[in-house]
Amino acid sequence: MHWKVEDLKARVADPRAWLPSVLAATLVAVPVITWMGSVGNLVPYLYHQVPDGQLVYLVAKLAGLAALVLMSVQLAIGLSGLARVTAERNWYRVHRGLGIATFATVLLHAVLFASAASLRSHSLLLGYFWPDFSQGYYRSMIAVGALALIVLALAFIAAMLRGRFPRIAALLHRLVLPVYALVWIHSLTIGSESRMGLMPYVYGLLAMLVAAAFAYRIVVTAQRAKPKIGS
Amino acid sequence: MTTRTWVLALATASLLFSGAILFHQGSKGRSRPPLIPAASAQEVLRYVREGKRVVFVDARESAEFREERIPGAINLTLREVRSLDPAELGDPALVIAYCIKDLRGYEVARALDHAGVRNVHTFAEIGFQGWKKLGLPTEKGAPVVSAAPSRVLAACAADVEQCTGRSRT
Repeated sequence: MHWKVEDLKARVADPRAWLPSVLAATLVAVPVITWMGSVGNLVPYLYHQVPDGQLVYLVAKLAGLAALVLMSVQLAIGLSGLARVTAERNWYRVHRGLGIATFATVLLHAVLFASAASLRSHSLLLGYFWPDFSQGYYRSMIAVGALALIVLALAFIAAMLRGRFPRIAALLHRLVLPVYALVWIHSLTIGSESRMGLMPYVYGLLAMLVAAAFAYRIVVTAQRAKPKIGS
Repeated sequence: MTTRTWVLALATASLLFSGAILFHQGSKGRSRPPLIPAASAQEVLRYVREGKRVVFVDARESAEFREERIPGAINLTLREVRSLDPAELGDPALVIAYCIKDLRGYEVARALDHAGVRNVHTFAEIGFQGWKKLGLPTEKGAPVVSAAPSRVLAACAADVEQCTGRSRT
């Protein structure tokens, strides 16, 4: 492949050419780097005997962190109303793609965690997928995650059926807001590392991103609603 | 690259990664040395019976710790271990890190070992769940600093069958 300096300059000058790739790389890099900082050196796991399910548990944590990052960015795009404000159809495509990735990652996190616990206890623990709040703190906080998964599934199905039932689907899709709150509760209450190393900073940035998107939406909506002088 | 390509690439990478981990999990040789050794409840109770100092490190969140724990256990989550001075634990003959199924407990055991704490083990019977399954004593409520928890364990270690309500088979 032969690159001309002019071509390169033109690509750099046009954010549309590189922004999606940079964003996608960031979405992968942030959880991976944060996770690596929290789990430490995993190389000894490869040549030592470790208990059944331990590595799967660590990967479940990575999936959980990736899900939180994806969900925050997804919520920021949705809340900011960028697709409507910019009238740019690409935002819809990004939102749809990220939605699929987010749901898949949340599901992966849940499946990996249940697999790790099942491998450890040598029995299939499907009960983790049902929100049971009657068995103490730990199971209740897992139940918060299970509830978030179930409600997210509803919101995801609603988004897929938006073409057929626009009004109901739009209403149901708003369930992602309580889901996001449940995800934070789940993550902060039993996510052992959510308050150490790089994680508090990543969590802070994600919270600020969502808050900024929401503020942007409010400002834009207010500006649009303002009557023009002389009209 | 389009969004769809990215999503497909990510999904494929995640599946391959998870598959590799599960494959490693299934194919691991039992002959490899353990990263963190496991001590059976019998060994732990023998240490207690012999008057050796055993420290139980509960790796769960404080709310779980307050609900129920091994008598005399101390509460140290993974985030707290990183700032721990190993000298604070003294030089016990055995340190047992645990949580419910030892998923978190194992990571805390590894962090303690990395911090320079000696004789770190996990439970061979798998965590607090295994401890309770054996019928071994637990304590509930806010932890109090007293000799009572050690006395409960020592009494149990002195007569395990009576303590666990099991007869010798």
